[in-house]
Amino acid sequence: METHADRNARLEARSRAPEEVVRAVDAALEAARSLAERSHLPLDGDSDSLALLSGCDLEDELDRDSADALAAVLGWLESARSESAR
Amino acid sequence: MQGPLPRPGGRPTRTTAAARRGAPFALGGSSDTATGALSQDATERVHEADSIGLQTGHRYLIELAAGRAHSDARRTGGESAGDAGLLATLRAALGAEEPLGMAFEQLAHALDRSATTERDVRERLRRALERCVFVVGDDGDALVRALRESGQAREARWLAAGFDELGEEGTRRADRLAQALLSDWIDSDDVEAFAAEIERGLRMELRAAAPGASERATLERWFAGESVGDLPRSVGVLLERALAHTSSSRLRDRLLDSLQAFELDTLPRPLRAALVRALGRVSESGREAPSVANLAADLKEQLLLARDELASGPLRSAVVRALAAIEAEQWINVARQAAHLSSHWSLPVRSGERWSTAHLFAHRSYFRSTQAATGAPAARRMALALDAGALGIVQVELLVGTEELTLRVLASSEASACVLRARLPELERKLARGARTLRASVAVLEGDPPQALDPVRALSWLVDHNVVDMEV
Repeated sequence: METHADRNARLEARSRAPEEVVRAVDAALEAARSLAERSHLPLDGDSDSLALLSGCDLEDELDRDSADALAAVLGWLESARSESAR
Repeated sequence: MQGPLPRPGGRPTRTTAAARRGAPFALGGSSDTATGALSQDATERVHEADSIGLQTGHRYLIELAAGRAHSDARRTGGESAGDAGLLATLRAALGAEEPLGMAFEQLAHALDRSATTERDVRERLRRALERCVFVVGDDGDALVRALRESGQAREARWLAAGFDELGEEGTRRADRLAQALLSDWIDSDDVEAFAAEIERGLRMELRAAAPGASERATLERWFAGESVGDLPRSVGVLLERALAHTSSSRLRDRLLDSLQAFELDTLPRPLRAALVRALGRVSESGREAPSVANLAADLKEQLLLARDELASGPLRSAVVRALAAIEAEQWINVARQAAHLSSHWSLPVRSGERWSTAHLFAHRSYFRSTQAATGAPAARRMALALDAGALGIVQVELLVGTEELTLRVLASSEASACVLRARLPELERKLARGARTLRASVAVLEGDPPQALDPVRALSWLVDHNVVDMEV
């Protein structure tokens, strides 16, 4: 059974998720900045910009199967283009 | 136009915006009136309210100035219809009118023509540029590498490296997020019992996807982007399927609503992975230290370094233009993702001396209750568009599943369609693999395709005729 303290903690935690996301992303970006500084690489820009740009993530959207299919299609199109140009 | 904006809190609409605090941002909407408000995390959900009147389907450039009580919005121009308007507006705002392929080609020429001074910088740039141009005939690995290292995902790679750097702290943060989400989702005294049900459902899905493998191993393969059984790429769909195993239909319905509201698939990838581990209570394999060499190989990284190292001149100008072109692509994707549109990736393609830009529209697997309910196999949906010279603009829609590949080629004219149709068996041979069913067809694009091959116009046209925004 949930204790009074547990319940209070749970209620406090409500709607905290977006804030937790921002905190986690900020912490990761801070760690990334530190890594970049140690590596003499230029990870500059304000945190908001970095956080937004970090949402453009190719790994989410392209797997090996799809990439193979796309590469085959590009080769096929190029071969059709060069033949029709002759 | 100027008017006060309320703080976030109104009823969210489908209208969304991508914003940089204090900077102009593009706002797109599907409602007749909408206003934007800048929140703490800077990614905007726009709330229905009074003030700025926006015409349905049009795009605007709005400048926000945060005030103490409210933000002021000023329309700075850029009004035009459709996604092409957003693209044109963002390109103009960022001073990058060239498609990526053209900017990269100019950079390659500038490297060829540049003097022998600053040889190190030139060599680094040349190597980075070579890696992110797809050479026709290369395979899928080369295509992924070209896109990954083109700079369009540079900050995402840094974010992933940052999460790896956090180590245990990253795990703790994911646990806190999981607890916060569970508390949000479950309005009940018995959070722990329901959390256990979610964990059980998740583990059942993982075991079903790869019988005999440990849940941890299956998750690791899935996080690495592998196709594992019919495990969906979307975390939202995965959790939805896990919830199908819960005993209480009342709880399940409520959780499904909450899941849809939070849009887990918009979370950064490393955080999503950590969250699934936390919800499934699956421990993590040992972390590998981030490879700085990989990060340094990114073209945007090298362009930023070169911009600081090069003296003024044609090469530095080409570097600055290429950087602006990459940033334009990235901001366009930020805006597109915020509006739940497919991401747009520019792929510079070289065939001999000929350069072109392939436009790839990759649909992220957002939450789809129908997929989870029907148990439909996971499939990737994407589209490719390319200016194929004499054949005109060609678009190719692909649905890539584990058991089936469906492909539709759309040509600009009947004459081009005839040429492509005659060569379809060749494409089918290239794509044949094992027992996978292949369905390929050629059709003529509807509408009025661009006659001129001007790349900017073609790109705008392609975005306006976005073929990938389609539902199963």
